[in-house]
Amino acid sequence: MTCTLHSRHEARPLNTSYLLIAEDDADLRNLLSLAFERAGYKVHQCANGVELVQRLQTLIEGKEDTKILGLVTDIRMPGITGLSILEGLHDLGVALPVFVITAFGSQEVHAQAARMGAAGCFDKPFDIESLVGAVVRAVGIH
Amino acid sequence: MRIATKLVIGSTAGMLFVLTVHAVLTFRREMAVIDADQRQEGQRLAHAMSLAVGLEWDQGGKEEALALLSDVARRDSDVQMRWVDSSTQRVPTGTQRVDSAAFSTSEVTGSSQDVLHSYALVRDSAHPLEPTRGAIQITQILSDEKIRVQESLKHLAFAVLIILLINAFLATLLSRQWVQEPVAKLLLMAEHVGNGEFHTRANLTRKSGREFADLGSALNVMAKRLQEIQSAREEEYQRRIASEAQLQHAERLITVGKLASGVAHEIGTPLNVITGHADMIRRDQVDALGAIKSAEVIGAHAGRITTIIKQLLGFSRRSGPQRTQVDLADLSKQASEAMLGAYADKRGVTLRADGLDKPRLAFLDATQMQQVVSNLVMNGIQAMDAGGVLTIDLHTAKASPPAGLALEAGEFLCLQVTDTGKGMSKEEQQHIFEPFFTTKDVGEGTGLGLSIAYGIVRDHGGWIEVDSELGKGTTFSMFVPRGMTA
Repeated sequence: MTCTLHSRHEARPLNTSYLLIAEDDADLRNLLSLAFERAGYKVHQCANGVELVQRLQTLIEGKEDTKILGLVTDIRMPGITGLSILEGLHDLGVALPVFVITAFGSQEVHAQAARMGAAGCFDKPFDIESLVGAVVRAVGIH
Repeated sequence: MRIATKLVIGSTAGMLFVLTVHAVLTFRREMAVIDADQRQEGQRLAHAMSLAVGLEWDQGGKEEALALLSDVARRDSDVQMRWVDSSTQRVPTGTQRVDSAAFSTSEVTGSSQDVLHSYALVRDSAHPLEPTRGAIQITQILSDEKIRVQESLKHLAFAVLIILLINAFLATLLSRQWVQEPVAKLLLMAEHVGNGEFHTRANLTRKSGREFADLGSALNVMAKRLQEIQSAREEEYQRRIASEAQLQHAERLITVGKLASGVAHEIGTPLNVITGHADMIRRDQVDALGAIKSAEVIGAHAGRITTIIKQLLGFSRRSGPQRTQVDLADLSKQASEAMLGAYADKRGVTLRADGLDKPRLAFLDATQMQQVVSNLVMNGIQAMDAGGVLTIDLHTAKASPPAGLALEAGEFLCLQVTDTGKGMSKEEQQHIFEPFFTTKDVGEGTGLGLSIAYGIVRDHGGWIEVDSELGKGTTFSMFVPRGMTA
């Protein structure tokens, strides 16, 4: 699998723009990474909320010479929830396209996510291709 | 003694007293009248005889006079007459010459029980200053009248006896009807009320006596009030039951909702992984080796879903406890040692046990309780990533169940499992027993274990409490009823 991807990546010029993926389940995280990498994105994985916050901080503060294109995050994660992060970004005024994944799928969570400026909200189990499509539409192809 | 008997005895004694006093007084008065009559008669006769004998003496001498006396005495059988001569015997006392009349009679009546003596002096009418010639003694025997009075007294006594007997009989009969029957009715009513049968009423009319009727209606009013209070309380109880049922229903709905969202979350992720890998294979995005890896991932996540469903079924289909007499100390010891043997070493956890060497009997389902103890111990171990001490303490404790549980406070067996792990926030402690709630990392638990444990302990008439402080550790305290009656 990785071989296939690598061969594709090598064909494209590397860029320093990242897509952040935060999901506590390793298999799903890898699967998502694969799908986005296949779509041509550079992906950075976070296994839990704490890692995500740390990564976001360094990127926002501009300590790294990189740019975050967008964030795909699970809502229920150990450490901190995806909604709290969305809220934090919203409060900080960071214009970042955020896609939240939720298993609850309640109207409430959807409404909350929309209110906090989420670019999209997906209920598990969702079609990975449609998530990729939505991200591509929102941040463009890099 | 019964009131009726007292009344009968009292009234009979009263009547007896009054009638006896009346009879005695009547008898005395009658006797006095008869006595006075006889005295008067005796005196008159003695006086008359003394005059007659005196005249005869003057005209014919002493012999003629005494003959006249004996002649008169022979003719009158009712009285005896005797001459008392002053020359041969002393004339009875009181015969002084007090009377100046020719035939002054100063008689002395010496009456014994049966006879009455009346005396009249006989003087010489020509020489009144001379000593008396003698005296006439009239002796009357107790008259028939007195005997008649005595007889009538006997009749009176007999009549009194009869009256008293009739009185006693009637009083007994009537008191039974007037006292005993109403009292028995009231007593029965009071017993019914005492037994909580407030619908009974005492049927006592004015005919049974006003006091009893009043008492009966007072009792009826009391019973009616009690009945009203009882039915109000019953209604209140029913209302409470109904509202509790509603509450339980609402809680069930909430639980079902939580369960559903828990299932959605737990199953959503593996399903997503499965469909994602399936899509990759379908779209021919992976090579042969990749397809094999994808299949492995799919299999693993399908297995994860299976596990979740099995646990869910175990959660919902849990049967009631099959209880036997169990030594909770021994059970806890075995369960905790097994868990520690399996998991503790690699995490650097040591065990400290208190109160497990002494048998603590309780009426429990051994298998279910093993599950609970294992779960509590497992949670403790998993909370200590960097090692620590797991303390198990079993003791009896006086405890009050948390509000909302229909349990009485009392003495319980308390098993405490304390870890020195990372602890939990207040928020986490509130939800710790809810299904699918977990603070563990993915793959360590589904969040059903404590929820199942709590259900089992509740089925045993007990409960689990949690006390935790972030960074210090957590104590789970399980309370179950002790002894045979659990």
